[in-house]
Amino acid sequence: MNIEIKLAFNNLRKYWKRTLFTIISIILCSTLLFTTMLMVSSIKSGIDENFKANHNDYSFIIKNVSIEDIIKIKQKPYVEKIYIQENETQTPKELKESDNLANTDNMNIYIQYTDIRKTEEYSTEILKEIGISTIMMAQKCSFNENLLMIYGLIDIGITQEDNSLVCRARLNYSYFLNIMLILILVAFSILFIIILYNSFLITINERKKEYAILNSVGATEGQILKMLFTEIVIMGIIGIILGGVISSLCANIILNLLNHILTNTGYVFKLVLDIQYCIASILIIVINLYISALIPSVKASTASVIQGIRNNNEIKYKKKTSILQKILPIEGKLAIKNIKRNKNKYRVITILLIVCMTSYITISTYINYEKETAELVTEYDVDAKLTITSTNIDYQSILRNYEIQYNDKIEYIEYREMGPHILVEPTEALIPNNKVTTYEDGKVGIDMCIIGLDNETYKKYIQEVNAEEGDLIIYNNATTRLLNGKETKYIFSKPFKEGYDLKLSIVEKNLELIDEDLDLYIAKYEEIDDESLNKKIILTDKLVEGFKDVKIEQNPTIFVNREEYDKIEEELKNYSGWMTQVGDPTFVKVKCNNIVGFSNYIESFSQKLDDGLYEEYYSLDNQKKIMYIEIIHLILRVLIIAILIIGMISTINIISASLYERKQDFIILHSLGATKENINKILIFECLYMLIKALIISIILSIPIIYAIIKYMQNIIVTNQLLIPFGEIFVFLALIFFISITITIYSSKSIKNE
Amino acid sequence: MKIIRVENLSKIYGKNEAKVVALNHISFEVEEGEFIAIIGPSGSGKSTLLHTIAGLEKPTEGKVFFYDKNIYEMKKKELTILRRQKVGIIYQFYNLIPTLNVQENITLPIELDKKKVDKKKLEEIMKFLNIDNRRTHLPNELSGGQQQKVAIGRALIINPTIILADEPTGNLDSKSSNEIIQVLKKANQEYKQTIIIITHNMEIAKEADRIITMEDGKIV
Repeated sequence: MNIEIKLAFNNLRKYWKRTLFTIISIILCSTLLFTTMLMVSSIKSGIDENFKANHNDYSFIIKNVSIEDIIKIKQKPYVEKIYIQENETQTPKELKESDNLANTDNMNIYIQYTDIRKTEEYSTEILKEIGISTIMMAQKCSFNENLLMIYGLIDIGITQEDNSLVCRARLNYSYFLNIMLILILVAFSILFIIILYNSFLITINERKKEYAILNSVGATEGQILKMLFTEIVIMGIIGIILGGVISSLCANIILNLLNHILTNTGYVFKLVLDIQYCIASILIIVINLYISALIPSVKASTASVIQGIRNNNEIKYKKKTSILQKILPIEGKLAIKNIKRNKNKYRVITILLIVCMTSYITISTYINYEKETAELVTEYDVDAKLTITSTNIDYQSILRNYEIQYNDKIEYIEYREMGPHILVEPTEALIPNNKVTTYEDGKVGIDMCIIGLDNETYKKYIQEVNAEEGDLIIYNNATTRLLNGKETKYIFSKPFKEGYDLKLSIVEKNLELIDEDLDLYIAKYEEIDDESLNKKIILTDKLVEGFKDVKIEQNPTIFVNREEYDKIEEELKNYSGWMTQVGDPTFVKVKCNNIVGFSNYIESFSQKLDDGLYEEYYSLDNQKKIMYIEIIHLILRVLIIAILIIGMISTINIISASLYERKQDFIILHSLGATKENINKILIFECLYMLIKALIISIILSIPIIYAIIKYMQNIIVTNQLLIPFGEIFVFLALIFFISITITIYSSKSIKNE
Repeated sequence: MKIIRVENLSKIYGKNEAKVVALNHISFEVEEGEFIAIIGPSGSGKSTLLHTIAGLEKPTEGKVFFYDKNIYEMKKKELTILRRQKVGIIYQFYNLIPTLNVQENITLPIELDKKKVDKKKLEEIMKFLNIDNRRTHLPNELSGGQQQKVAIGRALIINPTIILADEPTGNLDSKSSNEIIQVLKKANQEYKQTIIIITHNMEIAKEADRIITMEDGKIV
């Protein structure tokens, strides 16, 4: 074995504590990098798998495509695969090479590209290729927005530019995601380099004399460098291997936590090792190691021999004494002088503290604001509403299939709704306001909503309001909405006065212009049906479960059972002037446990239909927001834990090295009468100085970031409170202080023996 | 033949108020096979002179010739190799490599030179220094005198043109000091080593062929 390698091994053994700390630092930094890459590859794979499993991994849908065009499209090099569908009721199946398309009719095709991020470009080319007209584009073409959104393409559609059709996303973040990943890796790399640079610098300082001796007996710079890099290679190999192993465990834990947050969404992430990402991570770590070791190694090989042998550092003489040094006791003075003497060493600890504190203050503030938006009061007690306008759609089997596929129990209420104009007698029963129409004969009328409930819901309702079977229940409320900047304000009022024996008739309202100059109209009505609503009427301010949203309706609502509703509708159809919509919609209100899963399921279903099914998700944004907050929280906790652990190891390393170097100082102090309490005080002062300095810098850095967060959030919520979690931040900072001081006192135990 | 020639050598440390003139225009020569002792009070510039001759500290002014070659015109690597092959240095505080044993410390310069160790020569030197029974011991397992002998062995193994010893007995008791001086004297006589030694001890200085006295950075 040649001398450089022999010396390298000897040094690693002799200075085993330093070696251990350095290896641990490499392991931690490697773990951070590897874990990030593992998470990215696992999440990417999980998303791809999820969409694949639901046959949803396509980007572009074109309906009614000829076989010739399908063949043309299939041959494109950027087309990964095509799903074909003969009609809307079929599940799309993958078009294989062996499939014979001859003698088949036009089909719907679902195209998957090799690179989803280039959907705009590829889809535009395909449109050009198969020559779809502007008129037909909306009917024939659509996109898988859920998948494209994940890949950063938001609101993609087809527009006309220079007489040709072009596919364009409103926002394209596809490369932004890559850039974000690169920025995160760069940030981690910088952290890696700072920590290891410092660790190597400590090592070099401790062995300054040895390098000087080697130089004096004839070791060249190259030989000393070779010795140092041998040590680094050995520590690096151990660190990278162990870092890789630990990162798989960490990534597994994080993925399990993520899966827990995303339960019921249909997403399940498994650990996926991508070789490319693995190699990239190793390369980054090796480069970082090299960069962090380079300067200290060159310093070691080129250091002054005489200074090294004498083991003295040039201490710059500074005449000025700071205010702190004037007011603090002797221990404080010594502490500050020491910190200023070893600025470079302590800089790492300070930087880590600043990063930790600033991240925690700003991100926890952001999360607090986001939580506030998620907790805004919603006017809904159901999760979604489906509007079915086509009689061909069997919504019950759709919902049953959903339950089976997603293993989610749902409750639903079917109802019908219409909005006729109602003549009310006696006139005094209706409180005059701008919703009330006064007719030329003095009678009054108001727009109302009639809702036909299913039997079960109707029975529940009449029980609640002490009504009887066949009664009309009027929810006596009309709401006026006022938009006050970004806030919507509701004003509730009761249109009907209590204590009247109401008679209601369905009429058609007409407004006749009587004076064009004065823009004067006279209201007239034509009676349509005065029998159907001729029942006992119950006025109430209660709403049956599932219909909380009726509270914000502008008009009062009549609730009847479905049978009565159908009778009323039949009656109205006889009236020639009654505009009955083709395919009177059926409404279904849905309550489920997994609104995200439900929305994905319904979206994929309605995309396959021409029309006939429309959906509104009341709790979806909230749910997504809550999930998003929990994910950010998870990332924050992981990052903070990682930085804290790395910080603690580095701090122990730096403090123990510093104490070793200052052994002589402490011995002298002890010989002059300084007790261990005095020495502890010096160390605590040093610790406090760094912590307070880091805290002040963190606060200064956090202020503009928090200001930006508040400004951004003002677009979403209106609040007069400052939603900074001071309590949480205080606890976190106290914890950091406590850990730092504990480390300091624990490290000082080693010098007591000396 | 002149091995070392020092011409108008000056070394100044620091600036302004903190300026220290360690060497003040010194010139002298060293013949092959000479045993020279440099004496003088503390701070007279003895160690600085030795370090400058060894190529360890560049002078502010002046030249140092090693066989008519100005060592400070050489490249750093060339100078280091010269030191490795031609100059044996012995320090007051031994300065052994703590992770290498006695034998390894002695053979260090040879191994750095990527040459094969002459085992016969190694044995000869270890017997000469009376440390052959300690060959596998680490420096912290040796007495001061033994460590200094190892340092001398390290200097001798390369068959140097010159040995520079900076207070080699400064940290030793009188018995060990005597032993060390006898070893150096023997090396000078038997191996014809040129030796420059710095010492405070007049008794030791008297063993030398020539005494150079320094004061305030000058030869007096």
